Amino acid sequence: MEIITLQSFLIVSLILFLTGLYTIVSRKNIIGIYMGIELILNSSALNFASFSRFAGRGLEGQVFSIFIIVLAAAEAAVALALLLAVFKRQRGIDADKLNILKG
Amino acid sequence: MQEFVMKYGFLLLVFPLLGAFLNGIFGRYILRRYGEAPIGLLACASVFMSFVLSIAVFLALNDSENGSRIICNAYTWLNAGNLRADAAFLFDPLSSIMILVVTGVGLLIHIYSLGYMKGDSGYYRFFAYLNLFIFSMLLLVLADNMFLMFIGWEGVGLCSYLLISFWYTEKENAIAGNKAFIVNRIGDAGFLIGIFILFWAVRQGLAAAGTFDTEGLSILSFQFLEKNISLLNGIELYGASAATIICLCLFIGATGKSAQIPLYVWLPDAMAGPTPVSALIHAATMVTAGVYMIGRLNFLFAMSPLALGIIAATGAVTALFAATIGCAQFDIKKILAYSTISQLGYMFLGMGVSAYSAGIFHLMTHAFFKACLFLGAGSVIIGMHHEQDIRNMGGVRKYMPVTFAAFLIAMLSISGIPPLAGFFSKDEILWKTWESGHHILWLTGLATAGLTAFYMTRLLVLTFFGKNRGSKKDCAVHKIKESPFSMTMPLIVLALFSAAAGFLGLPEALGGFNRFEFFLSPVFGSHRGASHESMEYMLTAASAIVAVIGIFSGVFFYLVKPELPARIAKKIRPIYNLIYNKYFIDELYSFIFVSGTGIITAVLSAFDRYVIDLTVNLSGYILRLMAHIIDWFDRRAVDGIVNSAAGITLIAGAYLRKAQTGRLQAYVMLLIIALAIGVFYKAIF
Amino acid sequence: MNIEIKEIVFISIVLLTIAPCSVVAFSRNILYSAFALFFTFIGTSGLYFFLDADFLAIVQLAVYIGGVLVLLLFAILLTKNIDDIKKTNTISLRRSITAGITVLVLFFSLFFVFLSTGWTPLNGGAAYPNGTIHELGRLILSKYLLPFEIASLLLLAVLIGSLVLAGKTVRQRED
Repeated sequence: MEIITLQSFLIVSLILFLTGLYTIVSRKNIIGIYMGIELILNSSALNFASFSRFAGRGLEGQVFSIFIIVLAAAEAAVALALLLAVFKRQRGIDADKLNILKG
Repeated sequence: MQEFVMKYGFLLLVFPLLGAFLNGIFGRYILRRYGEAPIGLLACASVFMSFVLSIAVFLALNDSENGSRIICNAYTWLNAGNLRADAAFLFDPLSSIMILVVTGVGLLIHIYSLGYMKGDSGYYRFFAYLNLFIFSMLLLVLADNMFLMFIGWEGVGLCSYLLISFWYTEKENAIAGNKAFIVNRIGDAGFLIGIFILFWAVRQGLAAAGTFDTEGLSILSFQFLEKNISLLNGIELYGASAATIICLCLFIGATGKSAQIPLYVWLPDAMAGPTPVSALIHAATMVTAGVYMIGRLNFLFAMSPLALGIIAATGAVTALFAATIGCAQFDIKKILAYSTISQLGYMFLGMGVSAYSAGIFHLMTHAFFKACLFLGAGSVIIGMHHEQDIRNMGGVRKYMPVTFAAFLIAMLSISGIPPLAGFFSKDEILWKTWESGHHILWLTGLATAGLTAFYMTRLLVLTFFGKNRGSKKDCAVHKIKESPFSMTMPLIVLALFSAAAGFLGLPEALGGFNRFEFFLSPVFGSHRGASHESMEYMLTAASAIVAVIGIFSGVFFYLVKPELPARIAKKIRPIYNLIYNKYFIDELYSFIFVSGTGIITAVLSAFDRYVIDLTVNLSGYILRLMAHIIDWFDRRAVDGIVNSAAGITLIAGAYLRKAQTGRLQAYVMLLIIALAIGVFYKAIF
Repeated sequence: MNIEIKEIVFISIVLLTIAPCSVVAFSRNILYSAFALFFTFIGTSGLYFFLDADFLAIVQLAVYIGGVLVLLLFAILLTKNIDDIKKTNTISLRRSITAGITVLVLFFSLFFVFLSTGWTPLNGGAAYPNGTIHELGRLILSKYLLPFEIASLLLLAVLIGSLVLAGKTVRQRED
């Protein structure tokens, strides 16, 4: 039985993705939510890389992974800047208190 | 010169129109800001420019060898199949004389009005109307075709209406304006119908000739008509010759505009307008439009001896009829108005006996002496502080010598005293009448000449001689003074013309050379009949004698024995009353037409009230009933649906807004639940 | 059943990646979560080596660990009082239950899908024993040039945008 197969990578990626999802939904702290997002981005980049490796169609999947990492970095900068702005405004970073859009 | 006229002839009309436009639009502002001077200057200048151009046209026509016509085609106005009308202007001897008279007399009267209208609040309005009138009259005279002529024809009618009711705040003036307008409309309707029939007949003629080639000319242009008038031969309408019907229809128009029986009634009332207007429009120019029109269409009228006979008879009867009324009037302007009607009758008589150049000649001399008379009367009226009744005048001679002198010359001229202008022109008409064999009409004309001399003398004597009878205005008498120079200057000029203009048309019988007739011969042709020189001498002498008799009787009755007229009037009271009340024509018209209209109106009003109103009310009631039903439906059904829709939305919103928590994670939760359901479903099945 | 050394290494790296995820998800201390994330990133980087993506692995290390994670730590330090650090990363119980159920459903569904799908045609793959940098550079500067340039613009915008956002002093609200 082969272990290093596409399935293994996909399952690792799935676990990362679902953990990220869970983290996003359950955390109260915005930084926690942000960590969940990072996990999801990681999982998707990994997914692209693995399909790139196993599909045998060149390196285009890896290029996508690179772009995802670039976007993740950009997102990190913006998200943390937003975080600081929210902190200055709310004196806290509890996501539950960010409900001024409540209907 | 000719080319200049051909190219720029239309400028003749542009100047007065421009003046009317400027004064009409900006006059109020100019009057308030700069006073009266610029307005009057502008109006006079525009007419003066036209006058200069008229002289240029006259000279150009004299220069040219054929001397017949110059056409200035400004642009094509209408073009629909065979119906084409150009805004083209026809300059020929006839129209050049007319424009000289119109702009010349018009200019003098503009100058006169500067003084006469001083201080009137409608100063700018007056001059705008007057300029507009000059424009319309020039359009009428210069028109190259019937359509354009009709525009001018209506334009002068409009200006006449505007100027008669110039002081519109007084009801009488407004009514007089209305009367003139409505009576003119009747005539104009005839004129228009005449044009229509003419167009139809020419089309028929062309069809009969089998060609529609008009050589690039409009069917209704005078040039085309003159050349192809024979097309009308054999065209019949309702069993009568088309030419006769056309001529009679056009003549109805002429009677309206030129105040002939039966449509003359508006002219005496038109004296309600300012005196310069009476002089210009209701004596010198506009009222002669009918005469001019017949002269212009002489080739057409020549085709219908019957129509010519009717015209001659109408003219002669009108002349005598109006002259008799003139003998018993006391309003200075009304006398002149009846005298105008009478003189116009002469012109129609001349036209009717195919003495076109004589008619036009009389038109011209009449323009001079009648304008002079009216302006003199206006001068007197102003001097007497708006007194118009000659019974309250008298002795004005001493206070207004210039006016008196001018008035005297004009009066002698109209009476037919040789060698003044009126004598020659009137005599020419009478001679031509005799020559054409209408001896009864000649007799009528002669009698009219006598009566004219009589009532003009009466007017002169009552106004200028004797003692002042203005009893209630004793204090005002001493303030009678001569009018300013701007008013006396036109008087003098006109008096000179009314004295001397006759020599233009000196009859050959008297050893002269009739330049006037010669000048007009391209238009009217030479009508040299058999020479009856001895007869002509006799008739000339007769008319002169009759005029002298008329004057002497006038002097006798009103100066020598002033109490005599009243005694005679008492003796022949019924006749006197008849004449004094103008033969009750106004009352007759009022009874027949106005009351007749009243009865029709009453019937129509009853119909309106009982039938139409009933229907309208019934339908209104039904509508209201239906409206109630619809209202109920609206309220219950439609509103119910709308309100319940709104209510449902409201309730749904109240529940759904709870889902909008504003919490990010709640949304993400929903998202992943949906994702899980989808993926689960896809994985299982 | 013979397990090669390569596979043992692979399994241990997979564990290094997945195990810290539970800490990220469940820890009450935000600093612990952050450090767990560090291990996850390193594990992912290792996995990239197994995928013949050497450049990607290096970038993962450099950007995520050197950049994102450091930024994250700074953010934690800037926003929270270090005293009650133990309660910095609380979990909403109600949400976590719902989320757990949903995530489990997803996991089993997708797991089933992955295993039941026949991937064999794909499993040939293409190895890059000489590294991928050359080929990646060629792709980025030819076929993906436009996205690459746009990405650079995006980074510039982010640089300015985050400066503006973080530097803005917000007026304290009255309520």
